[in-house]
Amino acid sequence: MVTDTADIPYSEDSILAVRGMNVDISVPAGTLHAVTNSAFHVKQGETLCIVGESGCGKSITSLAVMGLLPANATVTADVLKFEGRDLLSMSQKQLSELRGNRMGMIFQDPMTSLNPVYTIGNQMQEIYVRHGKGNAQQAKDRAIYLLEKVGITAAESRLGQYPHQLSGGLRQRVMIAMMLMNDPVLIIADEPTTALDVTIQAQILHLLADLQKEFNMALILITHDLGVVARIADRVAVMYAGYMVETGSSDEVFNAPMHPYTQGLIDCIPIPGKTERGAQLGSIPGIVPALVGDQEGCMFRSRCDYAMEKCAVGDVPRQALGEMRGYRCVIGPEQAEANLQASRAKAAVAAGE
Amino acid sequence: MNADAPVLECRDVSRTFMIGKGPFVQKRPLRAVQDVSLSIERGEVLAVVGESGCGKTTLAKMLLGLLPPSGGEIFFEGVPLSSVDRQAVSRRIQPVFQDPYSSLNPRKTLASIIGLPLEVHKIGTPDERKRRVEEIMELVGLPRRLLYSYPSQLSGGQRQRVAIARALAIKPEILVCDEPTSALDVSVQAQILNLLQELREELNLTYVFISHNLAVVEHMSSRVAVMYLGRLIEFGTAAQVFDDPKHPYTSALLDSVLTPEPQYGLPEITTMGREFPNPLNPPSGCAFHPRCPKAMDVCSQAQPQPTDENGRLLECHLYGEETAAA
Repeated sequence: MVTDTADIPYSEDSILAVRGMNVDISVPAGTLHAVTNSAFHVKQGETLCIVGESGCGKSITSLAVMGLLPANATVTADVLKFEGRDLLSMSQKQLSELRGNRMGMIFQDPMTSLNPVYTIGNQMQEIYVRHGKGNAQQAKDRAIYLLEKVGITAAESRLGQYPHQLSGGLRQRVMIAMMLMNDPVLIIADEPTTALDVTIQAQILHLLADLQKEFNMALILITHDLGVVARIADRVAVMYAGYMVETGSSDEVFNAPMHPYTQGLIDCIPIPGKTERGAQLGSIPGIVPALVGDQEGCMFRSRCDYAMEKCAVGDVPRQALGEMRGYRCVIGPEQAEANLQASRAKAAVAAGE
Repeated sequence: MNADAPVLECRDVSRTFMIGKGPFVQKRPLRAVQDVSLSIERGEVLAVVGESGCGKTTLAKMLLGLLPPSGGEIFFEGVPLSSVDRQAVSRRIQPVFQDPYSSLNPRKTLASIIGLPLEVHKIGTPDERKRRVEEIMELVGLPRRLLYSYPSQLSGGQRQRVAIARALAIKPEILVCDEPTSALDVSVQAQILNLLQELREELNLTYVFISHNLAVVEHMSSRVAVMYLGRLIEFGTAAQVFDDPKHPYTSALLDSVLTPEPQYGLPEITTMGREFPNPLNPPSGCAFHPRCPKAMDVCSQAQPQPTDENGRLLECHLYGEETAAA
């Protein structure tokens, strides 16, 4: 097992710091390695996006942090600290004190995460009173203040409404307001705009970014949408088959991707004005490997254009390029850079024809 | 059938659903599609875009002959679709649906899923049908060893290939693809889009491509129809619509597209902040006016009339008056 991520430095003021985290889930066929040797941290006012395709372990990562994994999952980590406190040694009771309080969560589908039989006001007040922040009247005042803050008109009358009476965009705004009730320092948003239309998506992302700045919170946004990531992230972690294969600033990861998977993924997306209409899109052949059982070598090698013999054996080294910039591949930075230039030149020739 | 006529043509097509909550509540009309006129030429990719609830799927169902229009008429090679036999239509127009998890029968093998249209249309002997299934599987990039597999044994991308293979089994001329890639991951989406492009060139197919993803639409389509609350508000070639969007709604949609370009940041939003209107109670005049950054007094009072400029159709007061003045 690789333990080199334990050595990546993080500053003590990180809201959340994770090093060498593994999540193993026991399934009938054996052990499913959902997350392997994960390392990331996020500071106040910072946005970290964890991006990857279905099954890459991005949601499991967030559930592990919140302590919401099912009983057949085991979390181990060298470091798993929230505001300097070790999450792994906390009891479920202590964790549930944190969740909805210091740690806010937003999920993909607001219809299933809001309780359909209670009013908006009821649910918003409950979370405030339950965490001992004040009485019902104070809770109500705060709910109205926050509903206005997230751009909901006639906030007071909305308190009496049920989730089904609101549109998808409004429900997601209510979720955001609810999450803010107890002044969290960290927000974990798992695909918060995937169920919404594009025009509404842009608004909700704007709202999240503005509120994050205003309340100076740390934001971990989990998504499969590279477009969303590029526009909102300070830092990006790309996940594949349970591994964080590339990390860096949004600018670095999108403009100079080093890992073959990141390079391939960015080529898959048509960009209006850049990708020639009707031309072949880049694509990654094959499918994601099964994560059950022992693993050796690079998980991406079966789909990788640059796969070599040494990719199949041993641990894949993490190439560190900067404090938080790195990627997990046997190809060194110079060669990776050359590969990127070569594939861009090839694409430019194809487009010119 | 008239060979010069467009393959498919909608003339003032409307579809209204009566929506009621219970036996004592009066049913109210929901105008899912209103007065849509457009033509689809042989060999082109016509894209229909818009937000959820704009009527794009209802339009697709009508084009497939699965839902009769409540007003207007759809012509298939110049002949009204309503007068053509249902089976004859389905032989030439086939659907590919969004979710390959729910559109394939989980209890049937690929051989029987892909071969079913051939059986229904009584094409060939069982041996010929089997050969055709193998042939079509190779065409869409499914290995032959999967012939007797079940959909649950396949990945999302493979399932969508099965859905495409099934649609192509009886050699149709038109595919109506309703959000064919929105349930798929990006790397798989690119595979399927490339496959659709290759098949179109190889088999000379015509596509009606329905999607909410404008980047994908721009990449795939030759002409684009933008719908809003059941109405066709802008229609033109991909170059016209994407390089020079005229309708404020089209511009807003294009501005909302998030491409992986970190240098741009989040798009600025203006009055689009208003919610999508309730289709049971649409706004007066132009349905887009409450969200339109360029709304004028007339927009809330009168429905704009469609204008046609070199085959580019627009429904907006901003341009209606220009043409009137000219």
